[in-house]
Amino acid sequence: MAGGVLGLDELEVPEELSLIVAWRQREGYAGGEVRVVAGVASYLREACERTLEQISEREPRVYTPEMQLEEDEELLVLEDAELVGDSQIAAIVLPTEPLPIINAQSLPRRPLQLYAVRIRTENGDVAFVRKTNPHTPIRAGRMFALLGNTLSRIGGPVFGLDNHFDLIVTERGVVALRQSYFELLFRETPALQRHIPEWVNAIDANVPFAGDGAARLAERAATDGRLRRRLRSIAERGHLSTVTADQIRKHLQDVGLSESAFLDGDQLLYDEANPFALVYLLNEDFFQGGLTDASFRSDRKSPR
Amino acid sequence: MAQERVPPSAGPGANGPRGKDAASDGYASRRERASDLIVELALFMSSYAPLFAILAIRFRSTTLIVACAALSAAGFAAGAAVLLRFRQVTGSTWTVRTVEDRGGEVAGYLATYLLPFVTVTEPGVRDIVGYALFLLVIAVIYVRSSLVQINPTLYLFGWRLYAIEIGDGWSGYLLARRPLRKGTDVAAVRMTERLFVSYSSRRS
Repeated sequence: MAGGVLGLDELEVPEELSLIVAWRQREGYAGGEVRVVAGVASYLREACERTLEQISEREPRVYTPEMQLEEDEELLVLEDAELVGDSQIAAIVLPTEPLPIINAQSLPRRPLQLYAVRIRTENGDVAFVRKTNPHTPIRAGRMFALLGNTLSRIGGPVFGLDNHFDLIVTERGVVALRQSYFELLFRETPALQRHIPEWVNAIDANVPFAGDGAARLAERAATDGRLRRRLRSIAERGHLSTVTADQIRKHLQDVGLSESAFLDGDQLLYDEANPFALVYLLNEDFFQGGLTDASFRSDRKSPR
Repeated sequence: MAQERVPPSAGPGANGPRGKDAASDGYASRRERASDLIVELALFMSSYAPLFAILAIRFRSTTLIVACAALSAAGFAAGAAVLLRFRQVTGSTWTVRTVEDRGGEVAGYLATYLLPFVTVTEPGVRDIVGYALFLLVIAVIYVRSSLVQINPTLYLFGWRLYAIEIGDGWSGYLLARRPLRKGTDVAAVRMTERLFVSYSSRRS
C-alpha cells in the first residue's frame, strides 16, 4: 500500500542519474552537480532501490504539523505540488536545467547540507535526498590515506555516501522517512508562508483578537517555524469554529492559567513578549495530568 | 501537475557568484575552471590532429615531419582519451528545448586548415616560430570562446555538434553521433560546464 504513494510503487531506477549537493548561501540554498563514475552510480542506484523497499514496507501517514512519525514503521507523505514548486530545496534537487559542476576545486568551503540523486522517470523527475554532509572534512592534525600495496595520502576531498536516503521529492509532493529532516528542509517554503494570514484570519473569525493582535501574530509567525507549525495545525483541525470565549475561559481555569493573560473581555490577547502561549492555548497544548494536578504542555499530539 | 519552480540559487559554476560573493563562499574562481581547461586543451589538440598530419606530409625536414606526426598522433590520442574518460562517467537525462546543428561552424573553422598550404615546405627558424605563434593565438581563442566545441576531428569520426537549450535559460552544446530533435529527452554526460556528450546510439 505504502509503495503506491506518489506513484513510487512502479518506479524503476534508471542507469542515468545525477548526484547533486546543496549548501547554505545567504538566506537560502545553492546547489551543484557532482559527476560520478559508473561504480559510484551503481552504489547510489542500490541506495535508491533500498529506500524504495523501505518505503514499500512502511505505513504511509499524511503529514500534519502535529504528527509524531513512528520512524521505524511509518512514512510521512505530503502530496502538495505547490509546496514542491515553492521550495528552494526542491528547485535544487529537481533542477529544470543543469546545475554548475562541482569538483575538488569548486567545492564550497561551507559545509554541504545534503546530497541527492536525481533521476528521470516516465512520470517526471524524482530526487532521493540524504540530509547529511557527504564531504568528510579532514580535521587539523589528521589525514586520510588509502591502503593498497602501500598507504598513500588521499589528496582531494573525501566523500562518504550512505546506502539509504531520508526523503524522496517528486514534482507532486514529498515522501519522508525522517520527519525532522522534512521539516528542516521545507519549513521556509513560501507555499507555507503564504497561508499564515489565512490561518490567523480563521482564528480571528471565530474568536476575535484584541487590537492588532492578529496582524502582529501573523508577522511573528512569518519568521518563526514553531509558531507557524502550530497555526497551521489549528487551521487544519478547524476545531475553533465552535469554540466560544466562555469555553476558552473555562479551559484556562481547568489548566490553571490566568484569564487576564489570554483574554481581554471576549477577545484574544496576543502578548508579543510570549507569542507562543496564546497559540499553545488555542492548539489545546496545555493540559493537566490525568492522575495528578500537574500542569503539562504537549509538543506533539496524535489523535486516538 | 508540477508547479513553476522557484529558481535555485546559483552555484559556483558558470552562473555562480563571482567576486566578493565567490570569495566569501570560498570558491576558487580561477582554479575552478582548471579541470575544464584540461578537457578544452585536449579537444583543441585533437581538433588540429589532421592539420598536423597534413603538415607532416608537406614538410621535407625529417625533424619537422617527426614533430608534426607526433603532434598529430598526440591530438588523435587526446581526443580519444577525453571521449573514453567521459564514457566512464554516468550521464543524466535532460529534455532539450531547442536544438540547432552547428556543423556549419566546423566548415568556418576549417579555414585555419589552409595553413599547411601557405607554409613553405622547408621553413626556417623564423617561419617555425611564426607558425607556432599562430597556433598559440588560435589555441587561446579556441579555449576562451565557444570554438572549443567545434572539432573537425570529431566530425571525421561521426560526431556532430548541436547547440542546445535546456529549461528556461541554460544554453550549451551537445556532441552526439545521432540526429537530435527538440523536445526530446537526451541521456548525456557533462564534459565541461557548457558541453554535454551523448554516447547513446538510440535515436531520439
